[in-house]
Amino acid sequence: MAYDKKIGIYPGCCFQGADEHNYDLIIDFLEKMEVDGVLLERAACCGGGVIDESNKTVTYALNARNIALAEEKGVDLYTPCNTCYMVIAKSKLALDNDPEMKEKVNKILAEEGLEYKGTATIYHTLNFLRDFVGMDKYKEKIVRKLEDVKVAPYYGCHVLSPEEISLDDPENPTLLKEILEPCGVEIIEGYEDENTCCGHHAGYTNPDVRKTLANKPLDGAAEAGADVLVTPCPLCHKSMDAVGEKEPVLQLTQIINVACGISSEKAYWDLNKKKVGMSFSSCSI
Amino acid sequence: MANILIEIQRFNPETDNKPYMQTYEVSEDILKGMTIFDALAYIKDKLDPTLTYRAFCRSAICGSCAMKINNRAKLACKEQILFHVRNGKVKIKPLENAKIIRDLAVDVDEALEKLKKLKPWLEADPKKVPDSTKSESLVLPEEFAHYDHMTDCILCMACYGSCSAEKANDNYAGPFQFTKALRFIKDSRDGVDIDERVQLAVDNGLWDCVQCQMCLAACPKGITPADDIQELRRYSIASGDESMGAKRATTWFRDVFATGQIDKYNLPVNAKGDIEAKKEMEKEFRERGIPEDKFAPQPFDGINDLRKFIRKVEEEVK
Amino acid sequence: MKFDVLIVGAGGAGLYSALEAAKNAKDLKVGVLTKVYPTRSHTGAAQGGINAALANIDPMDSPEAHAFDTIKGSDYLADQKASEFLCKKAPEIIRELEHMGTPFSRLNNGKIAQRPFGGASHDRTCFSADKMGHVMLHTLFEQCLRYDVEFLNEWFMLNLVHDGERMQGVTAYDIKTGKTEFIKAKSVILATGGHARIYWGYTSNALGCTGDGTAAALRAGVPLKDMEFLQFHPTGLRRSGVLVTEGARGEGGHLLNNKGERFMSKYAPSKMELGPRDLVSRSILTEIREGRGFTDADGRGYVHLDLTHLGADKIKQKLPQIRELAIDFEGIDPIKEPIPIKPTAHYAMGGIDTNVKCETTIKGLYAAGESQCVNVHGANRLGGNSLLDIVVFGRVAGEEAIKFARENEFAQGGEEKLNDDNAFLQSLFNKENKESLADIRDELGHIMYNHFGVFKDEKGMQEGKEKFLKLKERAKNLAVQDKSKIFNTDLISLLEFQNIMELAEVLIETSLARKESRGSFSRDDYPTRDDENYLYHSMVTLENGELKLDKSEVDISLYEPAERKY
Repeated sequence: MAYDKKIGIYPGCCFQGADEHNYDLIIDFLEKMEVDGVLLERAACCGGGVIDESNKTVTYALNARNIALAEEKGVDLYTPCNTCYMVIAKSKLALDNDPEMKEKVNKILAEEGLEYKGTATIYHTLNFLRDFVGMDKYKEKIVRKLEDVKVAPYYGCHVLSPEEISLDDPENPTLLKEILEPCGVEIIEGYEDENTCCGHHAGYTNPDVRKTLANKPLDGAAEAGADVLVTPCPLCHKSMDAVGEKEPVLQLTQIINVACGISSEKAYWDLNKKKVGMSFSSCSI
Repeated sequence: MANILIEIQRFNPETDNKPYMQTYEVSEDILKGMTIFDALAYIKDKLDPTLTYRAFCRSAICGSCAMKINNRAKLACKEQILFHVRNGKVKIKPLENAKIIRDLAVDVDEALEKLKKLKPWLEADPKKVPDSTKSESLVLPEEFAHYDHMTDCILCMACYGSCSAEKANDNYAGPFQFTKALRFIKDSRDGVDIDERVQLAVDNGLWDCVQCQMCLAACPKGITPADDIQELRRYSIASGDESMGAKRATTWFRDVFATGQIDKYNLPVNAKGDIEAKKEMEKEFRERGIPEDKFAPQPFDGINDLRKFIRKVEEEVK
Repeated sequence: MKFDVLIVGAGGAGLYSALEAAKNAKDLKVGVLTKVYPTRSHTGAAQGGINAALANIDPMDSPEAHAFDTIKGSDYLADQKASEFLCKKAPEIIRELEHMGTPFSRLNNGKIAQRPFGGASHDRTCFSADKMGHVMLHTLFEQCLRYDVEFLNEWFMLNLVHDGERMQGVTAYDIKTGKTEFIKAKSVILATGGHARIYWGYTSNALGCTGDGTAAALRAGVPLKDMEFLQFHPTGLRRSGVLVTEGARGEGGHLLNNKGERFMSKYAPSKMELGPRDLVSRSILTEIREGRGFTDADGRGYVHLDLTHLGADKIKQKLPQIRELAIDFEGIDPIKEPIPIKPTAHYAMGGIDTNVKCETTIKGLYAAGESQCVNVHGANRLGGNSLLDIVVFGRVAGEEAIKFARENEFAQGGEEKLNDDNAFLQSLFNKENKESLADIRDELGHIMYNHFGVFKDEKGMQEGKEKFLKLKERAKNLAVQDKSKIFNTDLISLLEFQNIMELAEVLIETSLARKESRGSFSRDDYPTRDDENYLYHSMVTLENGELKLDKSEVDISLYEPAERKY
């Protein structure tokens, strides 16, 4: 179906291969928001903050290329992952502030017929809803409320830090609340360790660190009586689901899609290792 | 005019079992133009002489007054308090990861001890530094630019007090400690073997950093410890680091070069020889009905362009 | 606790002494007692640079030229051979600092860069962007970590203890725990910094620049010298008094009155904005007094420091810290608007009387840095000479203190002094508090700035003295309100306040006694310099509870005092 609005989908590692179900989530989500998703097919890994450990300029260049692919198609770039967002946004800042580097990279991009202009906006689910779709449109699309559900909103680090790329007020972020409340859920605010990093990126440097950190916000959410912790980041979700103990976790799009009428199976709730409890009364479809 | 609620964490080990929040109400009128330090001084002078905090220069150079304002570490003397009112309140807490001495004053000795372990000082390289005071070492402006900004660090510990790895692991050196290590690696006058400095970093938790970016967000001087840590890791990999983190980095780059994407299926084996994990993933994938050609990424159409691109960037863009 | 050498204060001077001992006296037990962690020290706030005749920019420069500039800048009150010593030692000390790793800004040939500064006949101020003091302090601290210097961090020195001839030790208070101790020591170096906080609310200085060592020396019967000479820095931010470096003028900033005129053309036609600090301060306040300044909502007068013509690039590269200060504390971006500034109490030329070897009248007691008065700066210090002074004399004090400790046994006795101090502290806890410390402190600042500030006269000073004495009475009603033993900053603030009251009184008396204008000391009723009657160092000693004034000779053996024109 063709919609007026088009967006470039940047498929990070969490949206491909064995994680392709996350891509399905995005397609369903965009469909509900009446936005045409244009897959940036030749996009490559954003670097994940790890390619920087080999060569930081390659990270900047890879993302110049990723952004150029969106600009080539006349669309902005949407990534549903916190880390991809942070890395791509930081790369954009670096390129825009270093004309010499930008020129050198563009010279090489030209061989592929691409150019990094810097005109595309980098979106993550949070600001995509707020700035691209619009909150009013979004609320129109909600067809059912998830009543009796207590949600602990969890931003994850990379959408709020560093401040130059922050999508919300780091001292008082409210976007998750604004997005989740219309779904009918009760928001648990101020739970312990709500600002603590999930530790995902320590998975392959020090797994103990990851385990300790991932459980902190989960413990806090559990203690505050939340039924589920909701995060807009698939990496936070992956780690917290894998090593978390006291609280189940879902991705933001998994909640939005269900609130917009998609079944919980199709929203892949059952893929969780830690199953979401059946206290979502108006949810069993 | 409205009253602003200033919530401050209090704790005196002499009298309290645990920290608690205390609220002071001050009119917006009075707070206009005040920094957070001014507001604390006002509270101490006029409302509560027991409120305890460190402050000295009031000009963002001594580093005494780092504390958490609405969960974000900042220098109190550098922030206009009215900029930080959220829902009529400003929440002030001490830095994390450090034992509270009293109220907003925390122990800094532990962080300094960790700093010491990384040899945060110059040991003059006799090849570069003259042995008499008749002349100075020669350092070109371009060389100086490599470490200039890292010397802006005022040891305020805002980064350390926000660090996630520190939260998880007491032994972790800390963000500013690694920046200091890099600062001396970049100083052409330093005589300590770079490999030694890098090894010290590795031994003190270089690979524990979770790249949460909190240190960059916290630094009042715009220093980027998380980026400095990445650079130290680059050095470590280049000098033959065989740790899991190093292996992850090499395999990651190799995978992206080969297919455009990372290979999460083979990562456990490549990074830490964990065959079990791979077997488990295989089991799960089969159960979910995922086709085998999706276990690991395949090179996309046009992968050769990507490979050429990466190679050229490595060669031509420094 | 017992130390062969105890250094009080961990700024540039204290740390340099400590390094001297750490490197050359490994056989001695050396400790550094400091009320703030070393890198918090006020040395770190010095922005502009450190002077030395390296001749990297100007091959015609020499230590002699540097010495002459210093002596002339001092308005001929400096002890000339001591100033010469300072300037002769400068090149080697800068290079020593550099070899330790100090990150200086560089010329294209790799040498240490130098820039022009007030009162300098040749460009000789070495710098590191606009954070020279900061990088120097941190480098020294790093080296102290390297040599395992023992620190007593967050300890507050209460009093010096001596038997009339020799040091026995000091009494001190551990801020973290509230316990007190008598610390036995052979040599004690006071490196406790300046006391511009006397002008509370009108100073660039950190909160703790309260001359604790200077006041303790006074109480111990050690003479203080030239206390009336307190320099006002011409450009402090209007609201907080926080320093805007002379480097802003060195890089080409203009001072403008409310008519947009570069008024310095009237007062220092050849040097303009780079005249010596006292001259520039007086010029600014004259403009304000004669109605050509601006006035803010609180009635404070100020003028403009205009950097807008320098352009965004130069400001971002050479003066990034200044720009940040103006934005954070004044809400003004110097790229777009001029910065509002006024003279701010900045530096104490006067202090503990020492000779060029840092020795005081008590054997084993030394002083170095801003707390000391040799006097190398005379009536007015040149920019860039303080950072130099503290390291040169920090090293000298270290050398001398080590020598003394090696050649002497510990003096016996002195422990009983702790009983007096404990009783005194207890009284502060037990008394009922009847006044507001903050109000009295502010009042002290108003009295000092308005009556003993840049401009003074007999009538104004007598009025000021009366007000001060009334304030002194009220201050007796002050007690500690926070009764905790743990990290009691209320107590520390009160002790610091008592120190600045003692020093303010000295400044009041010596100001009244000097009936001339010289260097930073300006009197409307005696506007000219009077070498015939007043070319002497003023000396003050506390004897039987009274301040006794005296004079001592100035060494003018190298240059004949002349009129100071720029």
